Amino acid sequence: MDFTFISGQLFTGLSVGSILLLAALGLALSFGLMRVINMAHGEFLMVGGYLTYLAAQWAGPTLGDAYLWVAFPLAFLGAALLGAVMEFTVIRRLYGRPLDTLLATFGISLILQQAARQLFGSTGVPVTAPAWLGGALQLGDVTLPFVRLFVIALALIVLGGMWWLLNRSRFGMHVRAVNQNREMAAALGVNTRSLDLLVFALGAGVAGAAGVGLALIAPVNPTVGAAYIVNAFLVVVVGGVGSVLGGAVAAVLLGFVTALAEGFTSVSLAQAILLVLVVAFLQWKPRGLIPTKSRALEEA
Amino acid sequence: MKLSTSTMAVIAVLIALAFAPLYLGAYPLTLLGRVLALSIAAVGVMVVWGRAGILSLGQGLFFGLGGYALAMHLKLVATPRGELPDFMLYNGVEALPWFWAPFASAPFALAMVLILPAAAAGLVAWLMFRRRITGVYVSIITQALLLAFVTWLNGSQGLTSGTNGVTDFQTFLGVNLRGPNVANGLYWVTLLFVALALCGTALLLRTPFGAILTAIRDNENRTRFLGFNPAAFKIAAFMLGGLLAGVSGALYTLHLGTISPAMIGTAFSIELVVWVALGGRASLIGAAAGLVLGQLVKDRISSAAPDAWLYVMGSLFVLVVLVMPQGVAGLLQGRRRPAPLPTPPSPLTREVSDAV
Amino acid sequence: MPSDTHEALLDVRDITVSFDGFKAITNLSLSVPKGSLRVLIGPNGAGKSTLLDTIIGKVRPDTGEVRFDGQVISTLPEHRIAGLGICRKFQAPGVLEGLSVRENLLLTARRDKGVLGILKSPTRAEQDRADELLHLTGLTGRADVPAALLAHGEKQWLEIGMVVAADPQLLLLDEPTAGMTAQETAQTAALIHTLAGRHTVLVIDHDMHFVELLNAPITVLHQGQVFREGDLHTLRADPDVMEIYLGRPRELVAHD
Repeated sequence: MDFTFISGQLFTGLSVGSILLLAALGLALSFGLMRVINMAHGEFLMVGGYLTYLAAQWAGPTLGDAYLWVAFPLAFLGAALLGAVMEFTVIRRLYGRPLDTLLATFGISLILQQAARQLFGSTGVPVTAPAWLGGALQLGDVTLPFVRLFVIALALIVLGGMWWLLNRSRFGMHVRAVNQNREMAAALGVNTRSLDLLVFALGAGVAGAAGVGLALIAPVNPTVGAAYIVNAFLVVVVGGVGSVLGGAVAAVLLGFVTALAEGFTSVSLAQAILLVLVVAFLQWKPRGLIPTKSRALEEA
Repeated sequence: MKLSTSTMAVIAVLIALAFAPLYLGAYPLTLLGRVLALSIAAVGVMVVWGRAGILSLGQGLFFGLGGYALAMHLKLVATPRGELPDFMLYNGVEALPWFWAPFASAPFALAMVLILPAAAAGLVAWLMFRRRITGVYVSIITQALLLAFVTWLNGSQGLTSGTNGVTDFQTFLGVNLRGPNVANGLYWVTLLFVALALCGTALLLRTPFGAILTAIRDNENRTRFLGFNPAAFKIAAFMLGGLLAGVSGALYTLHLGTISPAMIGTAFSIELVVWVALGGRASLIGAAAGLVLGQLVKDRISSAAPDAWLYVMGSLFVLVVLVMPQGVAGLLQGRRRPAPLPTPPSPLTREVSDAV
Repeated sequence: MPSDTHEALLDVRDITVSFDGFKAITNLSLSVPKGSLRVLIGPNGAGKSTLLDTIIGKVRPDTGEVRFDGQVISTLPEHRIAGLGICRKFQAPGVLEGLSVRENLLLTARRDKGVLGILKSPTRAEQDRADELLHLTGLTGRADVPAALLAHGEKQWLEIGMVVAADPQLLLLDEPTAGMTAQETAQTAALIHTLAGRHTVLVIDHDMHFVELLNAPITVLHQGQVFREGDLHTLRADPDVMEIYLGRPRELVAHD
């Protein structure tokens, strides 16, 4: 095993893990809060990716590389808006029926994918990354492309922001209260309905921002979200439902395992190995790395 | 023996289906046979999801194992003695892989059609339910395992023919699959299996086994404290679901003359679930009929307007769940069942004081 | 078997149970003789429900062990513990809502609870038992109604019927009279008296009127430990017992 190869793979793993983490954050939040699995969550990534493409198309000619700073708010708000509409029209009507929510959101994901296919075609649309992301950092023999470094930085910033929001803000206090005991929080005056809406939209927005990162790395196609979603779910399961920190650790771990396995075997075998490892892990810790202790969860 | 109206209706439909080769054209008959083969998998989904409350999104795995078990046999039979299957030659495989060899025997392959899916389902279920993994976790894990299987199939060109799938079958048990009367024969065999699956499952669910599955779905902990081991019953139900999916997969392979990863993937597995939801997850007939009718409608719409189909499908997912969670069967039953009885005042006062 | 346990059906030995560092039960020992009726009282948070949870295996003790009929059960899976003949009635009615009233009773009355055994139809004896219990609980007319459609009171009675159908050696009743009228409470007390003797019964309740009707030895729990044992009269005269109930002193004296 040569060191350069392994560190190169680990670095790729870290950047893959970063996108997984951004995708999984929203899932972990909405699952922790509402016990809802959103199968259409991957499509928020897709929407973020396409909005980046559109930003590059519209703003690129006038703003040049600065289109990226238009793309972020656009992707975040666009995905968040879509998330809010979904929560309002479908998800809140299925409260307490997690398996049914799963099916309904899968239907939504089919619709969104087909819409993307008709609007943008089924082949990927390329987004040109700004020139200043074109180079790479050389650390000895290891090449670290700036684009991937950027994605890792993006994940760190979002993770930090999320940590602050959940642990230091009033909004976060409400979220944690509802996580612990929904009825009690409601009785104490937390508007759980609007909180659900906000958290869901926030998770969607973060996934949308992840879509920007994704668009910089590879062309955006209608199934890009579906490709990431299963692994994002695994991140949530391995990390421990509702735990942001557990999700972060799990995302990086999964990214590493995938990248290393891909380095030594084929991509398809790597995916299979990863899934088998996750199932084996759950034999050891069925509630994930950082389990949430809550009576409400026990009863569910 | 007194038969209920619904049982009589089912018998009437089965008889009408038995005579279908007499009044249906070639294409409709092929289509009907194909979706009837799929309905066996739907019966399995009804047991696993409708009764035991386990939403598996990975039924394609067991369907695929049954299908591939048969396809491997058919491929070996269609390959001249001493030679390798064509796709292995293209991919530079020089000797028959060890796991292919025994499938040259028809009895072995047929046994594997039953054993492989059931054993795989048993193993998956054991791993999950032993550690009390429930709910959406099960859905995610089953979907992930299916994905792993499909990804492996796709990537293993030389072993499984990859994305192209196993195809070009000639004969099965000495019968030329392209012979003139094969279509009718295959249709009747399929119908027989559908009838067997329906009757067998109906009888099984009438035993206390069916009641226990309902009990576990409604309140797993309570069942545990009554002295039942929920994991054992869930594993049994999951194995039955896997077995039915495997049989369905094998029949479907015969109907289509091929099996490929695209036929068994996530989309297939979740579609299976939604047809069951549409027909009625709690009803055996609802599940089978939902699949058959749903697939027939799909055939119509997707050939007339391929682009519209996914919108229809997606909206169906949302609407079934929002508007009629118990499916069409639930709507029909709801109309028949009388409203809940008014509660008698102060129950059992007399009886208990008497008893005491 | 140590000789000191031969009379005790349930023998809780020096158990400690903690949740995330909080000790719900500390070095608690309790022994209940075969065929007896025992009442467990104590202020909120005294560890009463945790003790029952530990006996049925829902919670595992950090140290110590629970023995049933001489056998250590605190390491067995829940369904095995239930299979030995321990049945608990939870505070909230735990009927199986998707099944009919009769099915609820039949399932509970089954002796063979294995996967293969379940395929057999209920025996004649089990069916007779179910009919008898339908009559006893006054639910004969509702036998084929899904349990979900029963009124709250009916569910309570169905669950008591299920507990009797299980014919357990040890019966654990967690606030069985919650939400019952005075008359129903009296009936329940009478029913429990008929059960004691053939079964061993351990009851938790807050309702002192009900405790008085049970007229049985009482164990007072406090801060996860056995605080006192004795009959209701002795305990009422005990200033220390009154002391721990100070927050809610009326409970012990309300029905004098």
